[in-house]
Amino acid sequence: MDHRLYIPASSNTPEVDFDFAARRLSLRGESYPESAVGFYHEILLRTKAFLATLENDSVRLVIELRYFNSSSTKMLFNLVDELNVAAEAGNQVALDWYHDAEDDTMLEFGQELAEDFPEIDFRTLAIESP
Amino acid sequence: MKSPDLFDAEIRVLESARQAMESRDVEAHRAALDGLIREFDRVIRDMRRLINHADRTERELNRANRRLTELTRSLAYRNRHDGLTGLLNRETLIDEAEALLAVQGIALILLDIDHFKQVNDRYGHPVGDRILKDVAGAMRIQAPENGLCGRLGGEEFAVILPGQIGGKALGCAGCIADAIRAVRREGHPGLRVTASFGIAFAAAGTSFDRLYICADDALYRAKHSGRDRIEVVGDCITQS
Repeated sequence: MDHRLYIPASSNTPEVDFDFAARRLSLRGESYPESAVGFYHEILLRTKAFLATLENDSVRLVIELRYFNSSSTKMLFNLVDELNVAAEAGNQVALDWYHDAEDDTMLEFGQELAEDFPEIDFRTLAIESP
Repeated sequence: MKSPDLFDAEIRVLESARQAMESRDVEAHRAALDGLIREFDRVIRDMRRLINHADRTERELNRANRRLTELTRSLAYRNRHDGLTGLLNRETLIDEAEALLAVQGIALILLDIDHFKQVNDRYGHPVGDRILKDVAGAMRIQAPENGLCGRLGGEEFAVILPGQIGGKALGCAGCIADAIRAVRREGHPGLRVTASFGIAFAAAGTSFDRLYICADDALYRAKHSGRDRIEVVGDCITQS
């Protein structure tokens, strides 16, 4: 099994730390790559392959993005879709959606995702800005 | 290999539906339709979320833009005006005077509040600040509409009148002097304010520095001959 996928953050891409072995996947930072498809393609493929191996297992996705552009949004939807497939297959899937306490736009985005994916155990978590 | 596309998943569903339609198998048609319906359903939900998010982001962007416009406007204002009195600041007044002098003659009225240090010492700086605002108010009210009023610094002020209008400048200074004498501050019945004035005129093409030196000389004379008076440099100053 794929153990871990780690991509450090850049100025326009988030830190990707998908620790498959630990069942914990996290995306942190900002996402507006030149090509969102190019950046997320490999991540999605490997995640899909990993999720397919799960059976009565649990996995947690942590999303802590301050900003993402429209094509990244499409890619995020694909990622959540994959998780939803895993949840429908009987796995416990949790998603921690972090947003800046001041940022209602991000909070509402998380809430809408939660509504659309009832199989996923969704939490929205506010980060108090210093 | 074909490079990945933003809509890979959707394109795959469409492709398999097309293939199914080419076969004569009714079951295949039904399965393709079923897949398309599910995909369409998902696409609608994705699109709804995406559009909602874009709308919220746009609203936020518009708000930020408006704040920025207001801030720019207020910075531009602050950059041109004196913070305490709201009159033009020194740099702006000089710029405006130089621009006028490039094309026409102007009159410069300099005025300096008499014994202002004593006002501050005796009544405190908050009262001193009020007096500065009162003087600015008197200038604003008494100066003609096309006059430019500014605070050059401390207790020194200036009015610029476009056109070489000797009598008008003297009249304007007289009205400002009267208005300043009429200033009263509640709680300080003994407080009286006066100012000394120096007036000079310059023809088009004269440098502001030259005009300023002459008006300042006149102001100096007003101060040294007893204050609360107006001194005028009668001759029009020219650059040569």
